[in-house]
Amino acid sequence: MGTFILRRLILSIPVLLGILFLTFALTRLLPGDPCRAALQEKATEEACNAFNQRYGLDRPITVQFKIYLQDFVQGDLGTSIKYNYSVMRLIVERLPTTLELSIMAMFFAVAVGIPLGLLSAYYHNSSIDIGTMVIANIGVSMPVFWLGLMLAYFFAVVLKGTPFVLPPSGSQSPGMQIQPFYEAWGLNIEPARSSVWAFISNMTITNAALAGDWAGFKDGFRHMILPMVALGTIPMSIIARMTRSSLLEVLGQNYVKTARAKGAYERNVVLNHAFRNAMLPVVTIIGLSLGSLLSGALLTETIFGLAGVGSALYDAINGRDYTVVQAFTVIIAVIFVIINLLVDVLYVFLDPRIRLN
Amino acid sequence: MTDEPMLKVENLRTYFFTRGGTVKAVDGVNFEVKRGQVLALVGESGCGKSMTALSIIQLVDKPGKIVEGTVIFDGENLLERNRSQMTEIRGKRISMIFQEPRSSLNPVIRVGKQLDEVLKLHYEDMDKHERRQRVIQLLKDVGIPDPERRANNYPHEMSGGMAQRVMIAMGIACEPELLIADEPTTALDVTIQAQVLDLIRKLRDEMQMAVIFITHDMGVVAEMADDVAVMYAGTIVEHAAVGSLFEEPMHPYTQGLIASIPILGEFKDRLEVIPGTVPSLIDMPPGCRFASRCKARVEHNLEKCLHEEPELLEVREGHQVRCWLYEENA
Amino acid sequence: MTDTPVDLTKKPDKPKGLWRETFESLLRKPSAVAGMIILGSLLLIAIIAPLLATHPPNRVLLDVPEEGVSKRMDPCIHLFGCPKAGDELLNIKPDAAISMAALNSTGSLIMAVSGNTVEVWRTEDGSKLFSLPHEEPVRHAAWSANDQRILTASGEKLYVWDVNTREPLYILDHPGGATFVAWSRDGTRFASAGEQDVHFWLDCKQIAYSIACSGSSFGATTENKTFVDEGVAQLEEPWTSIQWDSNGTFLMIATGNKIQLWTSAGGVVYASKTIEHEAPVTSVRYNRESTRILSTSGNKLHIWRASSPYEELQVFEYDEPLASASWGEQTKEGNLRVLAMATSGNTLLVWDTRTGEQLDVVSAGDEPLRGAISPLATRYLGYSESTAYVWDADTNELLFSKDLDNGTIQNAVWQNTGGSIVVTGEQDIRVMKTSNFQYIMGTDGSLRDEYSRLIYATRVSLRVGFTSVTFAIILGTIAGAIAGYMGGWTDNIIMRIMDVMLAFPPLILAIAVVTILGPGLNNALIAISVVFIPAYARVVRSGVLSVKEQDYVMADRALGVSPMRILFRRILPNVMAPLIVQATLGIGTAILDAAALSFLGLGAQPPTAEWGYMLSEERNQLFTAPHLVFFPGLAIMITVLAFNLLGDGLRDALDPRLNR
Repeated sequence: MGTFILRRLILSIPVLLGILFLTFALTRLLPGDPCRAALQEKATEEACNAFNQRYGLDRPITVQFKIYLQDFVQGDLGTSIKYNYSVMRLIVERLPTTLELSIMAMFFAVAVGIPLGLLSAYYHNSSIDIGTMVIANIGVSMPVFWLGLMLAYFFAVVLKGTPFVLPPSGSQSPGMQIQPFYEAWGLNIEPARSSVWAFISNMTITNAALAGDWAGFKDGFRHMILPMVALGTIPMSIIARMTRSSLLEVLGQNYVKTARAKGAYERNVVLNHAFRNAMLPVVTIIGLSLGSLLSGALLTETIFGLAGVGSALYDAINGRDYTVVQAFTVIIAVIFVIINLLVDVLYVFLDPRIRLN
Repeated sequence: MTDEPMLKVENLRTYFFTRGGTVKAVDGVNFEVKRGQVLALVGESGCGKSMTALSIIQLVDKPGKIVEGTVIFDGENLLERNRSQMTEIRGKRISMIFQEPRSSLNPVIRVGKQLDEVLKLHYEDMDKHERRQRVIQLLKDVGIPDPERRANNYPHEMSGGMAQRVMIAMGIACEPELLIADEPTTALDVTIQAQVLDLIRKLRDEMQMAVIFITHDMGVVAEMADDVAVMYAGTIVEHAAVGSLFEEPMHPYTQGLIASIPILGEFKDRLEVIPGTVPSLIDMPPGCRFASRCKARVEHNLEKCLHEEPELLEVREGHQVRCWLYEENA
Repeated sequence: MTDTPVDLTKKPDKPKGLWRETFESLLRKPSAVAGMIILGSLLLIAIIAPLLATHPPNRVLLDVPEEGVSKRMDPCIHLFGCPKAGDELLNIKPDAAISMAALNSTGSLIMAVSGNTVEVWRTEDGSKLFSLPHEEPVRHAAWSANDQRILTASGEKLYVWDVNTREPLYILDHPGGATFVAWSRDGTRFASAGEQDVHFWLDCKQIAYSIACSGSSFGATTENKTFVDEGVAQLEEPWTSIQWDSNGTFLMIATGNKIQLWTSAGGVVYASKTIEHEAPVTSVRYNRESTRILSTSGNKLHIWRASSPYEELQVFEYDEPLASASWGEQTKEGNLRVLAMATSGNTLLVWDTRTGEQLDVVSAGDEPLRGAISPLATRYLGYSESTAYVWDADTNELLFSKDLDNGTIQNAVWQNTGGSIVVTGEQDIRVMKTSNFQYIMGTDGSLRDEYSRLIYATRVSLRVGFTSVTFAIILGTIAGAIAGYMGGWTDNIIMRIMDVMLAFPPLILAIAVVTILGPGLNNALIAISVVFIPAYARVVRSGVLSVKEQDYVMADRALGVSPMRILFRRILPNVMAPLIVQATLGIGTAILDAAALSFLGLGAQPPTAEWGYMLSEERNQLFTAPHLVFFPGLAIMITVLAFNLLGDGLRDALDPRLNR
């Protein structure tokens, strides 16, 4: 097991290098002088020379790539032109929201998608099956930004005045102040802007839970419901479809017949024998749909006014803040690679047949 | 030992309702098995022998459905039991072993645990430790060396023969009264085959189980069975004690099957092969189901075979056959 | 037995009619059939878009004759019956007889003066919002420019009402009583006119530095005392028409043969300019920017410069006396035409103010008409005491006439968007539509027909889907074929590059590429095809690998057939099935991604009609005009759904493993 993970880690190094090289190459392909792009109207000749020297832009491209790699490993992702502070700090401020949103959306997708797929396969060709598959097919065809807007309209306008009304934007109600959890715990620390403390306390819901602020937790959760559903619907549909087809295939396998012949109850057969085998392709699909989840987060955050990586990327695109675009592209790709790595490892736990090589 | 049959199947019909039409996989099958006796169900693949077995324990998949008949097991019609009542029978009093041992074991669960599950399902009073003991004992009984270690293996870590032994251990775990073995040796090497057959025979003797042994291999039949039922296209065409059948096979189909066995030391120019294939089970010809492939029909020039289906006739004591050739002998 | 020679170069027989079989198996799947039907319809819509669309996609509806466009109009499905020209949209019946009515600036509220009360009604649904009671009959009333206040003249008093609290803010005295009140457009002052006296009132809360405010002659009777009576304009003859200019500096009063421009400075009210006419002035209007004055007197229609030196710019003559002057500004094919209208008897006369040319003469009925040009000068409105008429400005055709069965028409005006007219009778106020046309899905924020844009956008999305996938297939096939065929290092390098590309979430990579290329539909298209290359490269490579070692390919190679020929004749037909499945599903994803890029502002640029862009453009209007967000998104969903259903069907049909 250990060697497998190690091998898998080593195998992902070239991919990571490739990602870094690709994003590096993309910025070098940017039209125009990087100095002028970064300094804009302040770009005098001397300033540019200094700039080029500072960032090593006057040196050979291989050396430049080496510098880029060194900076990346040291956590220096450059400076945002728009915010005028390091991209790393921007990530510490913004990533927590995205992380929270993505985890909740994935949780929603799994918690709803798998049971739906299960029911659908169990009652194969029944009206439940057909209904579920219609929903799932529509779900995978929906633009996430449209679904988000429609949900916002429905829950904020149509259901106004009912108990089901939900806030269509922001991550907490105006005026809601939640203490950072470390203050609530009485820890006497003043964390740096880019520390782990700051990172965790930037996760609204987690922070509220840690700080024991029940009202804050409820409020944060209410704000997250719509983004969560909007973002989670596509993976939910994919998971439901995959669970169904995988389970249908497994239910036709010999070992399922064996389990039945043993005298196992049907529920036991489906949940204990078929389900675990059927989950293998579903786990792969979950890993893959995390990619679409990350791109979806970009759109969802923009719509629901959440201050996450996605909306920062959106602002950066509109503000032509290329450093941020590049840094975030790398970060998202790296996260994606790590997730796929974790999925592979999880796969080994689930499927004993997978051996080294 | 009573003479009362352990299992009595009467007029069993299992049809598959597909888009292309109704497939009559099992179409009026009758037989009985006594305690300690081995009944062999013989026939080509697709003749309905496996489906008959699955119908007995009611594991017919959709769109299949048992449309008629009774399955009397120990004096009780199983078809009157509902789904949850059937689970009490399956694995405990009737157990079944399948053809492909490796694909019949769940690939993601350790074999010990899979064995343990049968015990857990049917012996509620057994505790974990007792079950573990029993699992090891069972593995030892079916001749698996080093059972403590093997119990922790996954199915893919075992050979086919080993896996089939595990399946058999699973089948006998609750000391069933009836064991259905669906081609348990087909996927195995010849030497392993013999071992597995020996094992089943030994267990039958020890536990006095009734056994339904499904195979298409007449050689295995000769070795294992007390009674033989030959199936063709969903019906039994000949039913006799094993000695009677091999001495004097009556149905042209049975004759063909026996003729196709290669016999050691005997030289044949060519093995007999039954021409043609099993007719489509959807559009069954009106007459005898074997008529289109029957040499005897041509030789005796029997027109009747094409128009009228023969009954199963008791031609001799304990020897029944479904063929117009023996019409007057009955 | 003789062996027949085996032709190794011959391709193994494929099952005959594979495509036919595939098609038949597709027809057995309801979902795939649905997909095919939707897709067929979409293709048809894309092809015949100009026939289906009612307007060109980028046409701003300001210059089309179907007035009635307000910003982001609601949709109306014709099947359910949309109102036609002349249909009453609203009929408001106050309890007592109406003496006058006035719309607010947005046209959402209408105020009716009826006896001692002023009633305010909603024009949307005709419901009464509130009423303002007075002790004596109300003679006249006016909305403030920001619609927050209502000014009324009742008895010898003037009331300034707050629309929100519905309480009088100030009660002022106009000795002798006012018959007319008018609020200046900037809201800092108003005028109230009696028979021959016009009072100037100044809001000291807004103009704190004015000398009038610092003086002691407070006219207000409430505690706040903010309104100051600046002074009185004493007229020699009774006035016929009073209008503020757009800055609230001059009050134009027509009296006798004169037009006088009154103003106030330092607490003194005086006539700063007098424009003399030969005959009594019957009507007078400022144009929108108050740079010109249009007046009728005798047989003449004059246009005056409204600033120094106030000379006469143009004069139009007719053989009968003229009245009821009105301006209109018409944009036609990009050219602005300023029209001037006057009525004479039962006739409406229209001149082009640039050329001096008389454009139209329309007449109806026997009674004398008053009238007005619609705000966009596409319609003429005329009304006598009993009937209202609306003509099309282009064709001079009478669109409709409406008799008021009870009482006389006191006034008829255009709603500010020009979509309807408001006719005030004695008993009721009617709002009537002036065009037969209604936009099926309403109009967007730039006043374009949403439905037509939606139809045309089908072309854009299908084009993006098909072209980007075609590019991706071509490039992916080349990459995959080279990798598979050459093997070794070439294979390794190509496939590692593909791995790196697959390591990015697709949309993120597309965003990165578009950021480099610059926003635009074509660049988005390129980005999407780049992102898709690895998927096709993988399919083709595995196909090539599986076929490469087959006998018939080996034979070809031994015979020295060119690699290209082998690729096209032997290998590609074998990877066709998975490629087609991948492509069908890929088109759906491409459309979705292109829409997402457009939504982010990286794809289609204005004014292209593209669903993602249309949706993003109106998303801030979600709560007021949800249909503008709903329809484009629905269109995307249906299109993608069609490709997904067809793709799934094809996969099931072409992959026998999944056939159960």
